[in-house]
Amino acid sequence: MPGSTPLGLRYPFVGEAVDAQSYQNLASDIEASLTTLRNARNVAMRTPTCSIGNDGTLVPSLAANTDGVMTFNVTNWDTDGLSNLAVNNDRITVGPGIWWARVSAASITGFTTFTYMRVGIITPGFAWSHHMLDNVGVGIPGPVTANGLVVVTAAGTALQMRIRYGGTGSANWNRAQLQVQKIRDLADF
Amino acid sequence: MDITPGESLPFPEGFDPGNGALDLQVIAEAIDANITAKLGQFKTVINKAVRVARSTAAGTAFGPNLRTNILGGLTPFSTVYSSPGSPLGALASLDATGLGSAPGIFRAGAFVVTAPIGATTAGSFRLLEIQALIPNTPTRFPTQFVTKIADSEVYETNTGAEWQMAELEIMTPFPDAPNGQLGFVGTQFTAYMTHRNFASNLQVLAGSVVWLYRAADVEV
Repeated sequence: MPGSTPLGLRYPFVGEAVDAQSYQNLASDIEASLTTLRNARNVAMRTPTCSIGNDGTLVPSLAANTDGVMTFNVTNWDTDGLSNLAVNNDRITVGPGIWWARVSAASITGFTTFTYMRVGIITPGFAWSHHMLDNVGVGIPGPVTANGLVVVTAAGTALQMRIRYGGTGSANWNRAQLQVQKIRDLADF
Repeated sequence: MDITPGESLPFPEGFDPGNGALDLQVIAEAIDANITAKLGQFKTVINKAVRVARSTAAGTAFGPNLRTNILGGLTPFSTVYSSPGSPLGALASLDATGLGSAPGIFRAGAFVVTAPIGATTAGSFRLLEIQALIPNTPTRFPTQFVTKIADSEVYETNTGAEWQMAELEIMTPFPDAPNGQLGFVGTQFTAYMTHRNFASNLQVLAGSVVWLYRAADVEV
């Protein structure tokens, strides 16, 4: 009956036979521990991250004082299959975990009068961050950005960019970005 | 026995008395310790301390031209997430309790929705500040606190309710109290609102979010 270390690496006790099986047991146990170590390394070093954008393209007009969801046409990067703009061009789809997210828009154009513009980060039922620009302190319609932490508990959660502007007429939104990076899993490794 | 030059793993030399079982045990224990140490280092990186809270109801209104701590009990914040290794500290002050005593890069932020409880002062400003007080020693009475602030300022244009966020990133050598440091409060994070809605007081609405997390470890 071999002994074992805290990680479960088996070795023969003094007086027990040392044979080929002894070496195979130890080698197999070392490999299992190294696999755990490699998995930890992958989690630490291969952070899921994705960025989608709307480079140089005007999104179809959004009416004033109405919430809208931004659509995108460019995947800037995607390390974990989080986006598929051919199927859903308005979202990054994430799984359970804590995610850092950022949204931004360069400007809006085409409106008649401007009072404010606002961008935000949403998942179904929740707003995680918003920020606005106004015509009193800023006076110009952009750029505007918001970032924050998003707590996701369900697989396949859509993370989207909410947009809204105040004024008259309809506005086109220019050069928007939606980016995410996983901070950690919900449970400890 | 000799050891390998990089990872100090033991192996028998030619003139060692042969004891295969004992040699295997020594090697197994050395490899176990080596892997355990590396796994611990990865876990420190992976299991980042995080806490997120959201306001569950509108808070108590506060007057204009007052730098008001919105985490000081005026608004009911409820925990949305607290990482298992970092038991939730007092969200009232967003302190670093439970976030570890090792030096680190931290990010604290808030997304705040505010609205007057009565009349709106058109075009009035609202200032959100995220502040960190970083002690220079891990003692009960540090001789100095370095103050760092990130802020955002908006002006009312939206029939009262306004949305804004700010996030602060700092490096602190003393985030939380090391074991045995009685009375040391660590690095303190606070969120302040100031407004000039003179027509009525202002309140933080339900759905506002605050967060604090260890972004990275550093060696100082």
